Amino acid sequence: MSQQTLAAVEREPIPPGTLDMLILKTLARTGSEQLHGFEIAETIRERSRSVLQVEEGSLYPALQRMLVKGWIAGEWGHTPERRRARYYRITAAGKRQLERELESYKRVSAAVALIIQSA
Amino acid sequence: MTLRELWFRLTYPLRQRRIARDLREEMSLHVELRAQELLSRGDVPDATDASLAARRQFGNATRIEGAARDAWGWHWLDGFRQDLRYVLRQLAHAPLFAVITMATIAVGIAVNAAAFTFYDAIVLKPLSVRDPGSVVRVVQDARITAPDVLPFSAYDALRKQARTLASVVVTTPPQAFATILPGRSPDEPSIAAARFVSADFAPALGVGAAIGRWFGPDEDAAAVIDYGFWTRSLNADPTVIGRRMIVGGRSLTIVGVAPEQFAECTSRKPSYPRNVPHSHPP
Repeated sequence: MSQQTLAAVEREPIPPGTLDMLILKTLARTGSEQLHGFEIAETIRERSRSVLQVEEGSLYPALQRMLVKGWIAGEWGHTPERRRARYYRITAAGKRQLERELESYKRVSAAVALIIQSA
Repeated sequence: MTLRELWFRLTYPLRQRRIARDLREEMSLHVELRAQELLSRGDVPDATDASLAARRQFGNATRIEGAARDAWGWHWLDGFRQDLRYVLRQLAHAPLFAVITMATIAVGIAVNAAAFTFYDAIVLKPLSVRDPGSVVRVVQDARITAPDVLPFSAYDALRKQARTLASVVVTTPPQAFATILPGRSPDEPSIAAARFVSADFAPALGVGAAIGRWFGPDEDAAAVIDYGFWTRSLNADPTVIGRRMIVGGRSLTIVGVAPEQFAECTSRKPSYPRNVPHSHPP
């Protein structure tokens, strides 16, 4: 089973509140290449060297929320296997939101690091 | 919230089906791709197991769909619908309770409506006179006597000396009189309320007549009857104009019927306004 093959890596759930940022960053990095939901989840897993595991249960609601907010845009296309899929890209508003979230995330993690180091 | 987002949210109910279908489609693709991946990695023996494992990993699709739907901010409506259905079901189980509840609410609303109608007629509706804004009512200090009742000398003084009033009219409070209606025998009197008004009452207030006319200054024994009284006690008979009736022992000629609105809008309405001679108190 997959647990055995991945036994080498301890998997972690996405820290609360960072999922939007990770999705936005993933879409921002791919640039003109658009990703569908499964690819977003897989990209996040790969980039985190299989540490971060996106739960499907929170991925699709998050995508929907960001569609409503206008941070991402979805467009129906086809996978290389000719399956219909919704491909997402980041919008200008999404880029601004990503900047804001990165800023605050960096501040918080720097502050957390200070506390941990002083221990 | 941007305008675009607001528009998106507001028009959600129109696109709800399509949005749900799109979501289901992309979620099923996700499960399918996961199954393929598990199978190609050799984690599962066959396609059926792969699909099962992928679905298990994906989680409860209905719950996820619900969470995605909440993103649009309409879940309060879903909740409201559920509550409504629940209430209707409960009421259907207890019909007697339902009927009593509805009757209670109906009575409550009816009482309020009736009270407002009454208040509206007495307080809110303007007098149906030519220019309600220019009419003033002269009362006196309620500590001395009934505020509406003024001595005749006060009226006389006002009439003679007031300079800012175009005219001053006067009426008595309504009083009950033994009355013999037109065409009835003197043996069958009825009781009717009547009040005396000064001769210029109608022209000064700009009140017309529904039928007939109001009396002039020289008519001593003339009466104008109230519209309600005319319809109730005289069957709205137009031929009563010009006939005589006995009010409190005096024979009066009916010269007209006051307009319907005039009766409606004054609680102390003239039932049979009767001419009162100017020279002496009624």
